[in-house]
Amino acid sequence: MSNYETYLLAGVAVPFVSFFILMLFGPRIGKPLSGWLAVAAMATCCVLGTLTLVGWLGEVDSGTAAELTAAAGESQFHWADIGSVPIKVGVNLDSLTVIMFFMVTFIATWIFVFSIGYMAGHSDEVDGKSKYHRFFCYLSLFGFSMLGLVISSNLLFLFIFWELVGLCSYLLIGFYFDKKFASNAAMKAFITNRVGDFGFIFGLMMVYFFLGTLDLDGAAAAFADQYASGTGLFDPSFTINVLGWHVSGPMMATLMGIGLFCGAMGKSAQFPLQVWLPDAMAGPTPVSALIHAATMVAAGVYLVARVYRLLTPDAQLFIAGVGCITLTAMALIAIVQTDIKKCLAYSTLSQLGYMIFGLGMGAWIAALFHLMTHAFFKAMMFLGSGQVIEGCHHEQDMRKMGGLIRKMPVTGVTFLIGVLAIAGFGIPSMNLGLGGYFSKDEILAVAWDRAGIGGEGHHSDQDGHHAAASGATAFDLVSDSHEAHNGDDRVAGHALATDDADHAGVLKLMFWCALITAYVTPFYMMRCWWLTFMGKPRDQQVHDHAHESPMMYVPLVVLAIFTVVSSYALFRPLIADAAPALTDAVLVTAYDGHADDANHAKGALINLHGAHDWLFWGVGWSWAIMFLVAIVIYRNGVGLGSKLKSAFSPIATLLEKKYYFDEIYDFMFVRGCRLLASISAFWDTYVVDGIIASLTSKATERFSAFAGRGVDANIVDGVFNGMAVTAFDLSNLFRSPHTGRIRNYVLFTAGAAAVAILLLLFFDPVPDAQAILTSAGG
Amino acid sequence: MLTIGLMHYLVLSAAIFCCGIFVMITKRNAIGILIGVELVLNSVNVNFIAFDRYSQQPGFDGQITALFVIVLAAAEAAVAVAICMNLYKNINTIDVDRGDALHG
Amino acid sequence: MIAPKQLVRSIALLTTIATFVLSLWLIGPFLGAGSADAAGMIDIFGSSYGEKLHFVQRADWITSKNFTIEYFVGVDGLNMPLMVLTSFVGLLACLASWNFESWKVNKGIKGYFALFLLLETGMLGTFVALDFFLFYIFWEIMLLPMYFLIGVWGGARKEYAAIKFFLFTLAGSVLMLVGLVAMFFYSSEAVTRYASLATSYRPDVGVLTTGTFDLIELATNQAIQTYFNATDTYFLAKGLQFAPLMFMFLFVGFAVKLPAFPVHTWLPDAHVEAPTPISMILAGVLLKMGGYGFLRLCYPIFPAGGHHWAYCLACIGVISILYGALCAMAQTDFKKLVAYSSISHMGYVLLGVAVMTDAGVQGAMFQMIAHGISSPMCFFLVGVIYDRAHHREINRFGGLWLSMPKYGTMATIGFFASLGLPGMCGFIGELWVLLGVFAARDTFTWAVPMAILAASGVILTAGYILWLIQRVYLGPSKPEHAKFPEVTGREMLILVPLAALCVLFGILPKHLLFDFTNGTLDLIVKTMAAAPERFGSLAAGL
Repeated sequence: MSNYETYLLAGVAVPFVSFFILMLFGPRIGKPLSGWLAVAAMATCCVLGTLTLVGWLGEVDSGTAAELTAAAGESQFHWADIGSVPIKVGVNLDSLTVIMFFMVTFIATWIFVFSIGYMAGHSDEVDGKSKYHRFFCYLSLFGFSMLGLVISSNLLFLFIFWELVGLCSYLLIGFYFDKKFASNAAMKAFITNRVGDFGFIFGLMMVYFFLGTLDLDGAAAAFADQYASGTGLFDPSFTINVLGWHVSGPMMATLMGIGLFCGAMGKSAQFPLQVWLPDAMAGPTPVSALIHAATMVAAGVYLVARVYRLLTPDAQLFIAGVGCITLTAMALIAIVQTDIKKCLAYSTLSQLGYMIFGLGMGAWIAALFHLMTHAFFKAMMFLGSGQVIEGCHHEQDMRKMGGLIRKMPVTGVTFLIGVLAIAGFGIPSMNLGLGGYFSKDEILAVAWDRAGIGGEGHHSDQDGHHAAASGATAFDLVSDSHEAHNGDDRVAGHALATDDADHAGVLKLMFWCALITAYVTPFYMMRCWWLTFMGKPRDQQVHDHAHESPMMYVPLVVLAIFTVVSSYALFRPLIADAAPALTDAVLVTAYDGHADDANHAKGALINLHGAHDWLFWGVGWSWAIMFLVAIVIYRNGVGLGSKLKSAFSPIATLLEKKYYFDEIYDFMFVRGCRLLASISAFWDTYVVDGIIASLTSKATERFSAFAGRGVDANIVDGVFNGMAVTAFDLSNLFRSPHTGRIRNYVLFTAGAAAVAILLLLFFDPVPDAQAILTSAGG
Repeated sequence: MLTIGLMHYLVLSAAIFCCGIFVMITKRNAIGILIGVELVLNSVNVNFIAFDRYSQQPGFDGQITALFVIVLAAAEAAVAVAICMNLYKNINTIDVDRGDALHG
Repeated sequence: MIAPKQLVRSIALLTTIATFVLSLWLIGPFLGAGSADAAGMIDIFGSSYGEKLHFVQRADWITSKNFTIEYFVGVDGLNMPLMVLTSFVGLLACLASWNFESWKVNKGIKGYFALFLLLETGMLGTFVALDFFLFYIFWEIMLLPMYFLIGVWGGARKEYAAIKFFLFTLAGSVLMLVGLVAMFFYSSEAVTRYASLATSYRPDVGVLTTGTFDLIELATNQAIQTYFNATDTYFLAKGLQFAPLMFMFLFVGFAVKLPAFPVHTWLPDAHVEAPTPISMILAGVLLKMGGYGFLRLCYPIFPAGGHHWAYCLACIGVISILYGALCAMAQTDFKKLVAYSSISHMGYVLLGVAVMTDAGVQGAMFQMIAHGISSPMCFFLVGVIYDRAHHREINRFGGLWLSMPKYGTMATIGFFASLGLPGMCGFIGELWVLLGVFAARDTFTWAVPMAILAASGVILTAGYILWLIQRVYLGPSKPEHAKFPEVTGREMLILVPLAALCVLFGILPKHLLFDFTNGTLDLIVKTMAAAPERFGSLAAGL
């Protein structure tokens, strides 16, 4: 076991220890100390993460990283067997793990620090009992679960930690559970995630059954092997009969990918499971920053990146579609939000949509790069909003804020850096920009390329990689033989369509949606910032009380610095290092896997796609244009915005109601389920129990009651009743001799004996009886 | 001279048996019924001994059985008397017709 | 009955502790099974079913010219964990009975503990008996104390609940009795008809010449197996094939105990009326008798019957899962909700066994143990709050986590384990069963839809459990509950071990259970899997 594995495992263990201590002794440790304990634990993790990162960078440089990855794959713990398939668990040691680990620990540490400041100003006592320690207890548990998720080499373990982060999310959203809306939101989050997990479990089943292992690398290897040798899923004669619906192997592979992606849809709140994330803002703000912006919600993206090698083109297209719908629809909702946290929540949804969309379009590196940059600037913005809310005494409505920059300069400036980063601020043709300028625009560039808008021949520059075209050819061979074998071209033809030309229209549409959303994003972010920090104070009382505290703005500054740094150095090179191994897929292609130069995306983009000038300028200045529009509209507060809103009132209402998803789900699923439950309970009590109980005891009672009232009337009631009545009558008949008097019994007995003897004598049933009596007489 | 044969014993036994049954049927006093039972048992004893004496291979089987019955009768009497006592304790009489709580 | 009144509890507690400690001794021979490879497993469990039984005791009990009923007990991977579970739950239930004096019906403490210990005897006996007759005796012994424990010390409708429990179980065991007698006579016929095959698994017996009640013999003797599972062996009338019919007779008896839809209705009533410790035993141990019966009697002895009814049983399993969950969702009585959740969880056991894949059977076994840990915990949690509030109306509670934080934490652990949260015991069983169902897709056309339906159970389960937690533990604190005392030391003593096991079994399933059971289960699964080939069309019937 290499040092790195030890570091990572220790890093996972430390928060667990902290969690355990806080769970057992939390109340005794007391208010500030239990918070600091959690911070210390997380800082230890961060140190370990940094050590790993620094060491790993050296390994990557010296080219020994791949050996370490392979060695880590060898040393695994035999956890259990499913049937006869062993489940082994170990550390997935590669560049992606290392960089994710660092990102999570770093952000978590500073958010923990922020939390101490945040909780200091919050009344955490209910009924005289403090919940302070519990908050940090849950946060530590979250740290443990999230890090476990990041390092897991096994899909099953990934799923286990996946659920644990869901549990932490549940507990933390419902932290103020004495408020009805908080406990409702917690429940909604958990159950919506469960819906996604239902698909995840199904994906797991298919991986387990068709690929024979749940190990991530093992499954990918098995998938590639089956593809190469035309066995298993890619056996032309493979078919599964599901209720008469014959599913071919490639279609099953697609379903497998979609199943796994369902989990990501739940956790990363993708359409149509996006409903829980905005409600999750009921949790404390540090939680929103850590879990519902930076780390946990990105787990879905991380999962898709990890199982990229198991995807089929159809599944990938599905993923891109879901991502595209999410990023567009959610960005539009963000425009009409008035709650600062909700606004950020919808922007998170939209950005997660970008990442998923990126993976779907084959922008593997760009999507993960966006995950990293987004984690930093979104965590920072959430913390900023927490600072604002805290400073304004729990006022979350932006319409009541305004002009806060004078009261909270640090928060305002750092928030602005976040806004710039998410909007893709940068100067085209100069190597100058922030966050989204590199990561999001790279996703767009790849999408542009994939959609074929930049002209034909775009596959030609996929040097050093599986060309999509050759992949398609290889697969077509399989499909063709399948068709020949089956004589059913519909099945095979539907199963996989690798050629993008089939979907050119869809791909183009998706690209345009993403591009337009790139214009929406700067608008709503600037609207959010301007309404909060600029202009005149709209609520004097809120404004008078506003203040900021160092405990809370130090993390903001640190994260702001890292937002700037992460745009340039560190992240993209490491992700690019991980890419070749993780995108070495047989069926899908990562279009940016080759761009491994340490320089950032924009430069690479210009070099590679000289023809993209149009896109390059079109997206490059979107931030400036839309900032301007937002400032013009909102420079004097909400007045003009409201007018615009009433002008477009049907659309605005639709957006404010979030496309009525909550209402529809409530009606269809929540009420439907409860109705079904009531029916079941009714059925159980009155029908199942009624029938079975009446067959045993009640029948007897009732029939005897009938008979008691009178024999004649009830014989006509039917054969069944009649039988019971007859039985009752007979028993009455037999009952009558049972007087309870001994002499009667003796009389009957003696009489019966006498009769028996007489019968014996006269009818001679026993041949010898007469002889015996005769001889006795003689 | 009349020879006493098996038939005489059997008639005697039947007579005692009938007496016993008659007592059991007519008496309402628990002790009376107990006496009837004893009569019945003793009639059976007479039968056992008589059959033994007049069987082709006379032995002691019948007499041993009779002894066994006597012992059993004694035990049964003890139990029955205990029941009578309890009956008296519970319903203040040993009139068995009054103890009909279990009648069907 | 002669112990002084004040000592009764202590004596009962010492007895259960002693039983528990002794039952731990049973684990001994099974330790180290996992450290070796597959060959090592076979060494411990034998290469064929019943070959390596541990702690075997054998004595002739009732002998006659025609038959021998033996006192034959032994331990293998199938019953060892269940015995340890029984003694463990027995111990905790005894602790839970400690506040007997404060119960509503607090008379007859001697009778209560005497019956309690008799019940434990019956349960342990049922698990350990390997002679069908002995098994049946213990099975019935268990019934009576349970009847009185519910009927005397229960709640408002205790008589109704007790009678219902009694009648349902009795109806099931009547069919089992028919099976008992029939199997004896048919085995006697089998060994005469196929004398050449009738080599016993016991070297000291050699060739079997008479009928037998020995469960291992019935499952392993080739003559008996051939005759029992043949297509032309009929029972009562021509056309009624022996194996499916006998399988059904036994199955009904066990399904009542499990309980499976539609013979489950006794369970909610019995649970609602039973005192807390008895509920713990009922859910923790008695329900496992059903699953144990499947794996010990139905499947090894009538593998062809198992294949014949596979669809039917798997459907019942799926229905139990979904139906139990839906019914649980609609309950307003706390205890009834937990009772219905038991039905849902035990549906996984039936489903896992019915598909007859190794993952499915392993999952069913794990689910039994996991449910044996989590459900007593849930029932005890209900009991704790009932002791304080004297009602169980879910909608009248709220905010309990605020007034009783320790209790709230424990409840979260217990209910999340029951929900099947990964990392806790409930998850492993469910996942293994689902994977097992999916793996059966070669033999079942309906396996995939069934797996989907069963997997959708996890959503429903999350729904009703979270809704329950929300209504009882979350929300604003209510003034009438604010003064409830926090859980006492004794209550923590019961909750903490259960909570710890809930987590431990979720983290280390292999080392805590699968290593002990998989050897035996594999052997049973092999028997089942071989059935279609050996017994032809009957097994392939559906």
